[in-house]
Amino acid sequence: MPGPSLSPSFQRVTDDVLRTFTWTRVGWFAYWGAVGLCGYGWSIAAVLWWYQMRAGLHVTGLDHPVMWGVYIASFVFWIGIAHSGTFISAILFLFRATWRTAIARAAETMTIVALMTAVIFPVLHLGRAWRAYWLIPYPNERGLWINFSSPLIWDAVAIATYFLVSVLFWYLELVPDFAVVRDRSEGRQRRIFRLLALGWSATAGEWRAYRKAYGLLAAVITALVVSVHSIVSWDFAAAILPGWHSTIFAPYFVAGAILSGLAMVLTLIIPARALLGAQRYITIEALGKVAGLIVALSLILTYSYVMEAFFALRGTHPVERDSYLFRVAGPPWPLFWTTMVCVSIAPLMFLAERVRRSLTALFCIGLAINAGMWIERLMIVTTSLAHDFDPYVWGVYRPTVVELAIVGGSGCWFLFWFLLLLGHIPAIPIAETKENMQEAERA
Amino acid sequence: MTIGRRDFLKVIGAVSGAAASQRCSPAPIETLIPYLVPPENIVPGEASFIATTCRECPAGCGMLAKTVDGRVIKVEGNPRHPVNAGALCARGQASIQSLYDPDRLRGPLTRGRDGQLRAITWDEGEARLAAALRDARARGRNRVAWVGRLETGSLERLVRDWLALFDSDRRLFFETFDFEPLRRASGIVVGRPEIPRYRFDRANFVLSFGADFLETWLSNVEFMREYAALRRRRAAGGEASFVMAAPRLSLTGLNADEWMPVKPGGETALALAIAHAIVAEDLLDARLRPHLPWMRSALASFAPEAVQSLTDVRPDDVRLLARQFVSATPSLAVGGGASARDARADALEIAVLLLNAVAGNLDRTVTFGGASALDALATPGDMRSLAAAMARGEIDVLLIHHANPAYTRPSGDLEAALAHVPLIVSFASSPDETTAHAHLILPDHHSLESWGDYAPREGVEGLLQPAMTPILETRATGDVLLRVARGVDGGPPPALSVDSCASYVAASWGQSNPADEGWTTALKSGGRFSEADEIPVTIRDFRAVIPSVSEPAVAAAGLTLIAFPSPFMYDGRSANCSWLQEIPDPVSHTVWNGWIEIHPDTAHRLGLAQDDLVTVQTAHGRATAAVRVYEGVRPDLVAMPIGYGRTAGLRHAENRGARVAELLPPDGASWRTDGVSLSRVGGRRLIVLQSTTEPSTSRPALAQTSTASAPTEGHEKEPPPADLYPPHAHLQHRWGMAIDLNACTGCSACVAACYSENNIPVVGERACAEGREMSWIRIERYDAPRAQRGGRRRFESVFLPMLCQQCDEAPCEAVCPVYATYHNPEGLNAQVYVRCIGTRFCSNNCPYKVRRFNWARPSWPAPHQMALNPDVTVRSAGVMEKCSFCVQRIHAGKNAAAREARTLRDGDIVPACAQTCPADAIVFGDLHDPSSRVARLAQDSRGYHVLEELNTRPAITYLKRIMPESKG
Repeated sequence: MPGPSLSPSFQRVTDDVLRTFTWTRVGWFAYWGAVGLCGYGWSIAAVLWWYQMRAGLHVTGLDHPVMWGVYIASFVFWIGIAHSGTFISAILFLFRATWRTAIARAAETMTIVALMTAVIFPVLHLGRAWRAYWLIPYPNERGLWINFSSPLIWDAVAIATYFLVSVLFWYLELVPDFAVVRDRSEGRQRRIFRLLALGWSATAGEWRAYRKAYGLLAAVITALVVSVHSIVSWDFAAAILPGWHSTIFAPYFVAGAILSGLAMVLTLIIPARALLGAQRYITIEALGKVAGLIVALSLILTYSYVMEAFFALRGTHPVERDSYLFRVAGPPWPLFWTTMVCVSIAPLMFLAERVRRSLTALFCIGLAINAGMWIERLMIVTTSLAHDFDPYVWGVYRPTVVELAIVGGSGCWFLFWFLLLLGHIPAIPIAETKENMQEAERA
Repeated sequence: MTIGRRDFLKVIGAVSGAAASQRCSPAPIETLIPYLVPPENIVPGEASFIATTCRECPAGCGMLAKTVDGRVIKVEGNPRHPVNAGALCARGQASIQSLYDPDRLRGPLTRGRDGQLRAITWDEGEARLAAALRDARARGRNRVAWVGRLETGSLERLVRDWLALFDSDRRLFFETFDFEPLRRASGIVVGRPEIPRYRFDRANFVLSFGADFLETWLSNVEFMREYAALRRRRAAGGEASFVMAAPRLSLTGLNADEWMPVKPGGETALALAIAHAIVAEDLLDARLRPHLPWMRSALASFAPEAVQSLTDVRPDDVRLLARQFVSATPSLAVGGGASARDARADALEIAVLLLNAVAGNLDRTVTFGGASALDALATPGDMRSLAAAMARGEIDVLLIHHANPAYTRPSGDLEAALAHVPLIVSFASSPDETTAHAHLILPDHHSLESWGDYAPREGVEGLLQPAMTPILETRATGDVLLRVARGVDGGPPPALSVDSCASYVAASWGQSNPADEGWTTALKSGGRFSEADEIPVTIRDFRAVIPSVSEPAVAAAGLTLIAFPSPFMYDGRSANCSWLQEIPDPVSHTVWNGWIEIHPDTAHRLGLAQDDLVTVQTAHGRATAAVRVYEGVRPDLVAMPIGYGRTAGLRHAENRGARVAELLPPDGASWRTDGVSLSRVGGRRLIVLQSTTEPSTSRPALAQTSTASAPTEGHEKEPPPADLYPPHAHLQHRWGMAIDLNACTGCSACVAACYSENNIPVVGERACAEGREMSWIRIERYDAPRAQRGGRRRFESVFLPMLCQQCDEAPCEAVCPVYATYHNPEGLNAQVYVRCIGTRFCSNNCPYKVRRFNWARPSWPAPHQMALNPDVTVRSAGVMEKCSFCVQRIHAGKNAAAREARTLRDGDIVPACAQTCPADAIVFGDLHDPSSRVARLAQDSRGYHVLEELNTRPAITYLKRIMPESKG
């Protein structure tokens, strides 16, 4: 099938994007080396998980009363990471922010992979992980059912929905691009992409249907962005623990999620951009716009922190107050203050134009925000548990090597799939980029 | 060759038949289930209760051994026994662990030339013993000596007659804590050399000079019950106070209303100063008027001002105390305990008895007439003369029966003397420091496997009967003695011509007389119980012995060391019971380790911190222990628990703390020594504190207090907040509990009972340090030190037993994704182990933090698995567990009622914790039954719920502790 005639610059876009399908020698080694390294990393973590299941959870630093630790913190963190992809794709699409196009594919891929990473943790942390399927409502002869009043079930439903819709959204946008690859390839690759492209022939009718479906999904997923992390926050807010039981949690968690996701976009895209040679498409301006969004979200979070302090200290609940003071000035104070520096203060540097235009600064601050957000989750999860109503059972929590290695392994798992996926699909939306170029020309 | 189907079956049949006919054990198996009650009453899987007597300490509490399929799985107090009335202390509950001790001696052993023990047969062992005894008898009189635990009745007679056979009367009943000063003081003051009976329940005011009567002093379970009665009187508005005068606050002291931190060794002077004040103010009992002149002169030198330097108590306080003591008649003064035990201990007891006399307490709260078994104990002097005789080579055979002097007595004379004895025979059932010296070990049955009897005091005769067949190759010492006697030239005397110890005991209880039903009654009720008549006493003129109190020789720079018995380890004998190691010490909250206690000021002065390892140096020895900083000791004191530092190769007891006897004077009569110095060794040993309490005034009090006149003060019942959902309808029953904080003494017997009943695994020191202990019930203690008034200090301690509150609006239930915890129709928060997947959300959401997670697979060292309760699931790794209100007992009670076609009665169902509580502080029942005890207590004006503001609606009502009215 002959493709439509392309203007030289359109041709160039296609060439540039599809260059990843024909690696240079060095690029090939770098890519597969990184993938292999990540695979090795998560394999070790998998072995440790097996060991944890065999030995029991005493190999972790979890104890009485701190029964949730880095696993749950990482779960919340990865769910948070999963938010920016959608935010960039769907919400910014609805706001017609065209600068988002170049990073949308990477961000959406990140969403899907982050979800794949996040869902491991609730299973991994179970006392009897081999019974995890009991969380699924399936008819059985014992008449057992799940408890829909448990926030953990809400989680399962919310995350499953989000994952499904995110995959659909990601795939839908890929269909025209798969068709491009199909048209330019031969042999086995062509056969595979013919299947993936679902017979896309770029007729006007198809484009019309595509646009309609894309808009619709974007609207649906926008609602999900807000709902998923709200529900995750209710894992905590629906409990009665001081430091968890708070109405501010839903917006606070959503803002935190998008912030961490945007920071992760910076962290991942800045190296990826160099690796793919996509400087032309993923511009510093686009990255600077992400930085601007980060400032806005950081300010929302700072406001939440201030409100949390205000209600804890000015409120009438002495346990809430004690718990807050423990978090701020007790033994876990480094967690709190690191969070403050990384999440509330560091992003403010993006207010300076010079910082927004420095790749190094963007990358480093993005990394700091990511670290800060993980620590924030750890702080929320563990400090409230360590210091609640009954002073007699206050405790401490120190993660063990096994736990930290498994958390590190989850990072490898994430990068492994991220690299694997992004290396085999058009990393930048071809069709949409061209569309934007056309729009720009017309304007 | 071909093998047909039939041939194959034949071969298999023959082989398995042959295999089955092999006996696995050389011991004659008499019956699989010991049929002590008529066989038709035994149903496999059904529990039967066998009445026996606890021999963990000399208090002699009655015990019911619960056996299922021939194995003891739990012990409980015998409700008919007058000493303990159904309760047991933590040590009594853990006695089942000494029965199933994994380190128990499995059979007779002999020590070879190389010093190694090797197994022998019983015939060999008995032959060796018989030969040695024959030689000893041939060499002369009194060459055989017996050192054993306190025995009365059958075994006491048996040992006496048996020793007589070998021409010896050297028989010492040795207990670490002897009460000789009490006996001597009674002899001097009232002319009856016996340990009096103390009636705490009759007293309105108790003054203790170091006597830890709620822990190890005389009879703790009995005293705890009586003391609880005293406290209940206060709750009812009556007068009842307890002042502790002691250098260290023990568990008993923490239960006192006031603490007088008297100088160590100054207790006698304080008691005499109080007596002086009573006499000087002419407040003494009318009956003692004739004695007034001599008392006045004898006490002249004990004016409160004069002895202030000895006691460190302000004269005003002494006078105030004197007035209180005489006005609140009858009052009760008790003195003694290990920390007050020194060379002048007699003087203290005389002073205390004098105090009781002048306040008119004799024949009222201090009664005479029922001789205590403890009167027969060996004195430290007896032990010293035995050691001297051994050192002189006058003893050929030393028989040691359940005594461990090599551990509990200070090193020195005895250990050296043991080397001069040609044959030391031990009848210990577990290895100990004394068996390390033994040449021949003939292990006795555990007391739960034995026949015997024990009468703690006149009139109270407890019977011991085996609750199960012995699990090891042990042999009852009584049987060994009888068999040896049978082989003596000329045959045994008629008194010893009995075929077994069992028949010996039965005969002495009148079994041979069919008309006498005493024997069968005793088998059922656990003994013969009557109360000896009280004999009125009159005080003598004992001015001559009023002691001259000299300045204690305390070096100015030095500290004083006092040893105190641990309420769990006793004298160290319970150290291998893992429950007792894992249950936090009620005072120090430590687990799995020994420690020394010093005051925060002393720690600051010496630059020491908690967990620092220090060397304790005294004139007699040195030991290394870790520091525990404790405000309940005087700044000039180092306090160290007795019972740690065992070295006998016992797996749970080994390598934990130091042996305090190494630091004490070698006379064995003193638990205190002066001139102690501490020096840091470098390094730390983590003393695992199960939990710590930080007093915080801003938080709502979990353990609430009140005063008798205003029980509801500061606690106005608010109407329950509106709920979104209708409350649970509990159609038949709503199980509930009431816990009286006013009665609870923090003894932790309930914790041990819960371990036993509910198959709670022991996790060990490391896991405890990681916060992974599994106990379903914990005793929290909240201390609120009140303003000091002179030398008298209020140390408001409240013990709060915390267990699952079985909330009506349980936070745990809503968050479980798989309904592993749910609200059952009778109001229990049921936990379904098989459904649990271990999300642990329930624990996070529990404001009481009473849920426990199985971090690892639990294990029970063989043969301890035999003690598992078959009615309770053994949980696997990865599931949550918690208090179930002993749901297995609820089912058993309901089933029993259904079988008898009647409705449940209040008291049919008693959870293990409530069953064993010596203070009867825990009451369980149906809240739907308005006439039940628990329903009435739930309406008590003292009642409150912990964290009521969370609207969890607990099924447990706590009753506030009543504190003394603050005057001025």
